[in-house]
Amino acid sequence: MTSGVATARSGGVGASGAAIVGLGVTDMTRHRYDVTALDLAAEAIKLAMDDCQLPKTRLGGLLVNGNMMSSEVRNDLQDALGLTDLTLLNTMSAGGATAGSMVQYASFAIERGLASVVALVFADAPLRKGTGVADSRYGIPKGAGPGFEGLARTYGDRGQASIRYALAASRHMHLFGTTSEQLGAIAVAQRGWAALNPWAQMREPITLEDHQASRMIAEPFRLLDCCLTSNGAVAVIMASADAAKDLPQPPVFVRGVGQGHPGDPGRTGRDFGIHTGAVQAGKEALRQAEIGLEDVDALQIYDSFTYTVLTTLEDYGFCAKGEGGPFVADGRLGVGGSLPCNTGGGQLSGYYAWGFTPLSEGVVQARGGAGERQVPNCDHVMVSGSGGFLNYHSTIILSRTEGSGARGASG
Amino acid sequence: MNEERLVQRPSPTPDLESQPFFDAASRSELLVRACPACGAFAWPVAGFATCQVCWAHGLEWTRASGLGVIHSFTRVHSVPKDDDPAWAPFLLGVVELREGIRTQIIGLLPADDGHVAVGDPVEVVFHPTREGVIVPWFKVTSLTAGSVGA
Repeated sequence: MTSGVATARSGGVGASGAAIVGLGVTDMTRHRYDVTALDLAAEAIKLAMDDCQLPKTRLGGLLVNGNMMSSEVRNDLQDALGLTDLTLLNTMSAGGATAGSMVQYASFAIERGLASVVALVFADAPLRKGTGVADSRYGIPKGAGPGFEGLARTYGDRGQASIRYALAASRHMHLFGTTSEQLGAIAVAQRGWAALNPWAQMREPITLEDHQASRMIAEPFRLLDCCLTSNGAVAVIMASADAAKDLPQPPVFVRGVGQGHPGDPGRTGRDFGIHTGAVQAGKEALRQAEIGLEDVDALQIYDSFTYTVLTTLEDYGFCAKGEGGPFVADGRLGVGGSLPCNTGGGQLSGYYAWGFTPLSEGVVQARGGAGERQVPNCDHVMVSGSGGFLNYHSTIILSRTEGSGARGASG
Repeated sequence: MNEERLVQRPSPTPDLESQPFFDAASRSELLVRACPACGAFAWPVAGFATCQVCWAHGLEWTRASGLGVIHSFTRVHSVPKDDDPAWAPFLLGVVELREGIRTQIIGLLPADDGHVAVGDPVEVVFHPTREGVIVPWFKVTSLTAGSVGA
């Protein structure tokens, strides 16, 4: 059979499901100030194309994760990379849920024969030399606008993500008795994984006491409940499942992708931040993959803050709503635990690339190439993305095995 | 929380859209939005005057009770470099109003004895800010100190 990859940039109708065939992650163990996000995007895509040993002329599609400022890396990346005659191009934006949406869109395009090889990329460079994270582009805008925006500034709200997630976590604590120590167990478990990941920024092990001693940011969050900030980029290359079998890396099949966006009209009766879109997205992704929670070998859960992991575990159904605290407190998420979660350290300890952090580690684990931190017999990896402030959610099932349906995200 | 510090907070600058809200605050009245078509209430959001329930355009201002309960809150422990370091720690929260809507993130004040918890009843209070504009805060009502807390 002639695969789309071998001959043309459009795949041919009736292609099999989609797979991830290439991965590129820039070095985020050190802060790089000498490059722009655009340069980092190019570097990651080059690494990913080298990984699957495809020339740039084979790229038919490019999907860009719109970053914080939504201006630095967009469709103009095509020209920066000298890519001509693409048949798929878009900048997509659902915050940390975007990676899943991009994988879904690329899967559709590949399955419908609209493009045979598609690059997906996240790149950002918020950190500036000589200043701390608080002065990065993820920091505080200088000067608020008039009117209601000015009023927020009067109160001391400058749009900090920590405040918004803290409000959700605080309510969870009120409703269910969740504790800071339980949130801390997530941070400790992930640092344990990061210690085994040469790509991780923070590899020094921490204890629950370290977590409790870290400075308070916005209650209940301490410093060690918060994600890192990184200058870096991650790219993945997708192709049809058939084409993937002829490429050098072990194929990672996209067995299912779901989205869930519950909305927050701000009215009585909605309990925003307690139930997230993970409820719908997780169910849908598992349905497409024709597997159950018990089949999931590793979890890569979006971790803007520790709480994001806790509520997502509940919403996926690994435990009942409200039981996330005791569920994570026994260490099951960590190295040697029964539910390996964020096995590269996640964004709390690994590197901060939005939905591409869990996605990249999902690919590494499904390939079986995670070295010291490899989850044994890892077939199915459940990957989540969460965007806005728990507003948007996507779930991907990545698998080493193709599955009987072999229809990928269209399942 | 030191209520004497409120007068040192930077004032918002009322614009065309928010002027009625701040004018009312100077009279110790809290305004919210109401839909002229279906009557649904809404907390005012900058740049948007369409009813989220029936999609009628042209939300109007209406006086709210100023009473509600704390849906959630956080004590924030640091301020940006260009803000007053003495302001931290301060309280921000979301209030569920008697009108059946929730506020955006808003400034909270604890009860006089310092009590604050999710579920506490609150009432709107008005304080002048640094440049003189009077703005609303929600304060835990003293009656509830010791009520079921977080």
